[in-house]
Amino acid sequence: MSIVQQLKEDKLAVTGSMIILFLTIIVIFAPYIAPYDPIELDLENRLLSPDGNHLMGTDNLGRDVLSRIICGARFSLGMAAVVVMIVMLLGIAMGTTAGYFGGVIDGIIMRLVDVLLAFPSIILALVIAGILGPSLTNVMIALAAIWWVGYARIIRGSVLSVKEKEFVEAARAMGCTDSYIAIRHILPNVLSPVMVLATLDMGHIILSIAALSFLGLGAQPPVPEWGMMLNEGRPFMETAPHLMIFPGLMIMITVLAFNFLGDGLRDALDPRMREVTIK
Amino acid sequence: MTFLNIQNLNVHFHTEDGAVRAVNGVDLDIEEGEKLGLIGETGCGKTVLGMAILRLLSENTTIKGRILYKGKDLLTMSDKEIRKIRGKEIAMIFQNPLSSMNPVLTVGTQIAEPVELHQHLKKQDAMQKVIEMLKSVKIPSPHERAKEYPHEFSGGMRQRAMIAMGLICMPSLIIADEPTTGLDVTIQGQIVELMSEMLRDSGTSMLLITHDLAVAAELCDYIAIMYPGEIVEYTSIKDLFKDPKHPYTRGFLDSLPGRGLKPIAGLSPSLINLPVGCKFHPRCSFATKRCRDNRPELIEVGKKHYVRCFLYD
Repeated sequence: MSIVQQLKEDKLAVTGSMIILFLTIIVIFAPYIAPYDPIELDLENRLLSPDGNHLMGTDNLGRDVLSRIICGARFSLGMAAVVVMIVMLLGIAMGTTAGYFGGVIDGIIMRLVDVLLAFPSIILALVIAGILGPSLTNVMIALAAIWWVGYARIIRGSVLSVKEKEFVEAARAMGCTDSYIAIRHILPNVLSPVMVLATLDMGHIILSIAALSFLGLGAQPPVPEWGMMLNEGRPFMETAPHLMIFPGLMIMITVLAFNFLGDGLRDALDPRMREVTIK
Repeated sequence: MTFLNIQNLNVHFHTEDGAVRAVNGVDLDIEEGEKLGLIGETGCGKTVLGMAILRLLSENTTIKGRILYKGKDLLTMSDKEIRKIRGKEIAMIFQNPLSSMNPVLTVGTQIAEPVELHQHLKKQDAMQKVIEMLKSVKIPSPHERAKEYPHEFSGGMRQRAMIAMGLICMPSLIIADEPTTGLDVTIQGQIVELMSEMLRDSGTSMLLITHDLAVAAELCDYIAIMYPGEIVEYTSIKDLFKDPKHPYTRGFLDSLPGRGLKPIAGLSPSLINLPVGCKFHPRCSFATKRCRDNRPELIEVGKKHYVRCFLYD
């Protein structure tokens, strides 16, 4: 049974994929879907509760919350996707190098990984973002700098087992160079756990970006970013709870969707789980 | 100049239990177009010998001696030079075709690899060659088959694909490591037939590593019998059955099903702790004090017939 078929039978994974697809459409067409300008002030309509004109109400500066959430999806999801991409590339490069060549190179890379893993990642990201100064780009750099270690570990482990396989020897007997073997023969064999991890990490990274923005290190006003919207709504929590409820809900739904899909992917790619479903 | 000339080859691995002496002082010649069978029990160093030729053993192995291929020493050439030999001049066919193929690449892609690497052909041209090659190893509907993955092939088909991969660059020497082991008997016959056909047509030399005398008899001109790390007898395939000299060779032949199924008493020695003198003396019924103390040299006992035994001294 193919992976796609397998995923289709997993209701949660299907739900997750639908939500992600829906969010992707929003990200792509955000400016056309948003009913209002997300950063234009309208001081006469401050802190309105949700109604027919403003489905999610307005914030303390009279901006439409729905429009801000729609445009904010671009930042939250887009940035998370970029970070995951960078992290995957970095992790794959480091993990493959360490696993395939071993020895001193392996020692250096893996000790660096150990050191980075010894810190709570969000605090390390806080420090890096703090040093670089608050901006979206710097948050991305900070997250990428700490997040690759998990990937490097997983890849290294798989590379270590795959490189002992006979087909690697056969490739050497064929006259392939080391780097060719690493990229062409070993890498495709270790990618599936990375795909699962990357999907799950989309959720975690969205959360981390939101958290860092909430703390004021990420997006700067007036950019509509979900984490920052939460922070901006905080002073009005009692009078206008919708300012926090809707961004919070969006973050939750998005993270949940990626987790559902990630779990589904993991089950679909795991041969042991596959047997169970066939029975 | 000999085509492949192995001189006093020693291969030792270093382990915690001591040095594993897998190959000890092997001299071997293969002429152009000649097919040599290397016969021996499991763990007698025959695969190691094959791997040593292409320098496929791990870095911490000690290899001493010389392996001259067309006059050039394979053991001392640079990594770049040996890579140009691998797959192009000397190709290897491995024992287990399922694990010797990358599960995530299509069979066609993998067979195309040697030509892409060595002849720098474009993808389409390489694929064209692959299809031709699959046709010549008698794989039906090669166009569709080339796009399939190794697990979609049957065992016999996979071994055919491996042979295609080995021969696609027209190498001058093939090292075939147990190419028929693990296939069922009817398929074995087909593979042997295919190999002899392919090799006859191309004039390729072959080093066949096997423990199956029947397969070797079918494919080879000469046979070298290996007993822990040494060649104990070298002879033409005809003389092997007609006039085996070494007590081990005779024991080996007698243990065949068609010849009485009599096993040789005792076990072959551990490669870590080899006996002094003749390696076979603890199991040999003709052993004397001389066998226990001195290592016999290869002695010529007939035309292209050598034996390492004091009985013929």
